[in-house]
Amino acid sequence: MVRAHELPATPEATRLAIEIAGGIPTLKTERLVLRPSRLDDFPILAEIMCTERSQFVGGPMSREDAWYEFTQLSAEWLLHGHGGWTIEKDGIVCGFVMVGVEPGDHEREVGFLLTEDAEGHGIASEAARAARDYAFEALGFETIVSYIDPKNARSSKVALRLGGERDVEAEAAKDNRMHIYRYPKPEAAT
Amino acid sequence: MTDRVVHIPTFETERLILRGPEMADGEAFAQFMTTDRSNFVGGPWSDYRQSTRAFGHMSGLWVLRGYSAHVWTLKDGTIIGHGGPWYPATWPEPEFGWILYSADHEGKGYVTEAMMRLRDWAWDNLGLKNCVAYIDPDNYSSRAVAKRLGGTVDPEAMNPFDDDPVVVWRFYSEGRA
Repeated sequence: MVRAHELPATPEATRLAIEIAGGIPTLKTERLVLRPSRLDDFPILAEIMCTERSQFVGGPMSREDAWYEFTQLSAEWLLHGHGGWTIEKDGIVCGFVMVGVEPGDHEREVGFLLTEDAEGHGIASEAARAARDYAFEALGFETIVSYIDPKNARSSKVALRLGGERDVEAEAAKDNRMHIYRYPKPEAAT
Repeated sequence: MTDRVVHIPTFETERLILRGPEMADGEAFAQFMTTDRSNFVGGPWSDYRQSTRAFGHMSGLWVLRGYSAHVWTLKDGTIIGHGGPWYPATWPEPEFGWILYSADHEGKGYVTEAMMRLRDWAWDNLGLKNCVAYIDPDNYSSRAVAKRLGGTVDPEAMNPFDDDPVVVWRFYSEGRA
């Protein structure tokens, strides 16, 4: 059920939101557009986070908790200068990708969430690659990782496809059992 | 740290700067949330992550809604609190919220000074017609601020805090002082 706080603000505030989000870069890949998230993307994130689809990323969770996750993706842009994008293909929202750092993380990561319909078309790889390259090239990161649940075979494949390698030392230093895939800098990337 | 990509309107009042949230402000807020002063806003919280989440929520709303709380500093950059019109999760309508992090800055009229500017911004630039403020019945300082801002108690308003007794104050854009 859509709640009052999820609905658009006044036209004036909506214009201000567009202006503020205008500073966030939009990335284009062969098939995808990665753009700043908007209020009306939330039902799609909720569909992912409030169902079994989010079982490997801390879910399923309540709609309220999904809302906190949603605002966090956008907050990163203010607080860190990087953050989450909404992934669009042919005008359809396929999911979300982010360069972010969550409380408890030791490092900045590339994370991705896809809708059920978008799965199986290489969209996660294409979006994550663009986000990772942005982190290296535009943000000047020295390194970036993906934290992936060991049981999440699909996401592990994406990380491997992008040239990620398990960093068992970093995994040992962390207090959970997440696998850490480290991406090589562009010089070493294939 | 990269250049800032998101630009929030900044305001200057007689003694304060009201600006968009930054990473370091999260620490000041988290610190405040560990103290008994946070009693009136649902604290104290011992889990740092809870504060991080709340601060992230407040910050992210800027991008998504176009407005949220400004962080308030003195002219020398000292962070004293945050507040302004915002519309957080589960509430039925937007609120004028404010928090002064330290007792050292109380009794100087800082909250009124900041909120008068942000109230005018809400009416003139955000197109809001009215706003509430949820205030603990024992929070005498905030009650005084609400009065100074021209608020009146709205006994009909919905209280989103279940069993928590708050007094709902309402402010209207028309007939403002």
